[in-house]
Amino acid sequence: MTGTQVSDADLAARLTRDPQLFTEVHDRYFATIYGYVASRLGTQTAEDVAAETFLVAFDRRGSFDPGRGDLRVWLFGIATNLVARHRRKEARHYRALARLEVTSAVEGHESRVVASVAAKRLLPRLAPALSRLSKGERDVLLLVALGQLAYDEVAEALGISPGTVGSRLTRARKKLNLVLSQETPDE
Amino acid sequence: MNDLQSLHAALAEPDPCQDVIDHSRHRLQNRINGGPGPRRHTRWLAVGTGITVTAAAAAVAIAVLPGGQPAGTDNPTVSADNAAPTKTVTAQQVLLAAATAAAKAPEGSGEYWHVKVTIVRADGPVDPADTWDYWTGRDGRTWFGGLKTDGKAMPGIGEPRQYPFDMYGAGLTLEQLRALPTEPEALKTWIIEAIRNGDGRSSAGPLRDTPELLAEAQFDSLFMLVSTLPAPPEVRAAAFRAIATFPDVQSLGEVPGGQGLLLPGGQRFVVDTATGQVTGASRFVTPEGAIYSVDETGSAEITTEWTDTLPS
Repeated sequence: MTGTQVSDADLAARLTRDPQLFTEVHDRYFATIYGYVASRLGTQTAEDVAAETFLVAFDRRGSFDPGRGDLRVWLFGIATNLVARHRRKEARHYRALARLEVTSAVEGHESRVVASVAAKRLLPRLAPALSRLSKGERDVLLLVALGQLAYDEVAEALGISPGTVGSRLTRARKKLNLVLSQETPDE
Repeated sequence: MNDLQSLHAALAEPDPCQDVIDHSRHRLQNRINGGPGPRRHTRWLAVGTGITVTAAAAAVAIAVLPGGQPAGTDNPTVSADNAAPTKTVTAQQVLLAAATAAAKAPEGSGEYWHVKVTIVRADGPVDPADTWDYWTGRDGRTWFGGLKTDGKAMPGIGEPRQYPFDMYGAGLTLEQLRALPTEPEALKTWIIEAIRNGDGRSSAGPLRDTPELLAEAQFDSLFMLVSTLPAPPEVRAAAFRAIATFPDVQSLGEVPGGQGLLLPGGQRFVVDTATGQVTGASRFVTPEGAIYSVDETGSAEITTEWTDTLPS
């Protein structure tokens, strides 16, 4: 789609008339969804799960209500449901990360871009802690931390109240015991 | 950095590479074109409910109404190329002839199983974006070629597949493919059991849960055996004979590439009864497991071979 950038709301409204437009949804959000899924399941599984997210979203496009939220949030909800089917792979992924010896930033074909060596050194403690969270706590925590969703967006994606989002996030952060500063994310 | 930012920094993975993006978009495009999704119901309940159709029943002639329209045509939208079905050859006769030819066809050998698909349309030249090549090595490694790779073979995504040849929830090694039953009813039973025990699913749920889905998956599996999988001659022959037991397969007469056949849901395919090859189809399953449907303005030409070379 060249020329003027179509807003998400416009795009969503046109999808029922023109299913082919769904490739535009893919173009806009695949990298975002992939990034979230890969951070939870690893790149290998993420390829399939990210692709599957868009297939499921396409099948369900008729049920998406643009008035109730945006496409990105809706896609995160679908992706999170799909990630939930791979609990063991998720646990294995965090365990595998925990075993990585982190000395410097390395990029390769299966690249892990090391944003911060110090943060990566948390991984050995992080892995068991993440797996010990409840599914609800982990989904909320990672949608915020990895997906960069706001509280009301997490609520929309998971179909829960913003209050529940807040309490699950607080519990998750306490369990991870990683509070390094007094900063709290925007509501 | 607060704890959430640390978490992000610890876990974040890099952006997807172009191959991954393209592969996903390809699958989405297949779905938009009419891939798996909520499955259309077929009229093959007899197959799904375990009623056995014997070889004698396979010789049932198809009723033809005056004017040449087959009785009970579910989907009258057939390709403009196809005239009214001829009364002189039935679908079962075509499939049994294909079975005989398939049993005699040479098996071929090589390092890689190569499947080439070209979408052809009645109204124009082949779009370069509409040709794909797939190679599967005996060790399960896969390669993919198409417009974006300039025809070169690019390594497939993911690790080498333990079961390189996929048949709807039943992944098979070449040895297992070669060991499939060579008797039609036994082959059909084997496939149903494999689907029931496998992980095959459509977006409507596990395939094993619904007779209609099972029947469609069973047909797709048989079709893969005669079209895109390196099944040995006797197994391909059995698969043709098994397809011949499905009710409501109709003959479209002679078309480019051989004899045209039509299924109740509108799916079409073309069989060369001299060689036992499926030369074209309106719906096929790619080696990656995506279902590709071509609308009535065209069809997919399929060629397969064993080869020792990968274009690079």
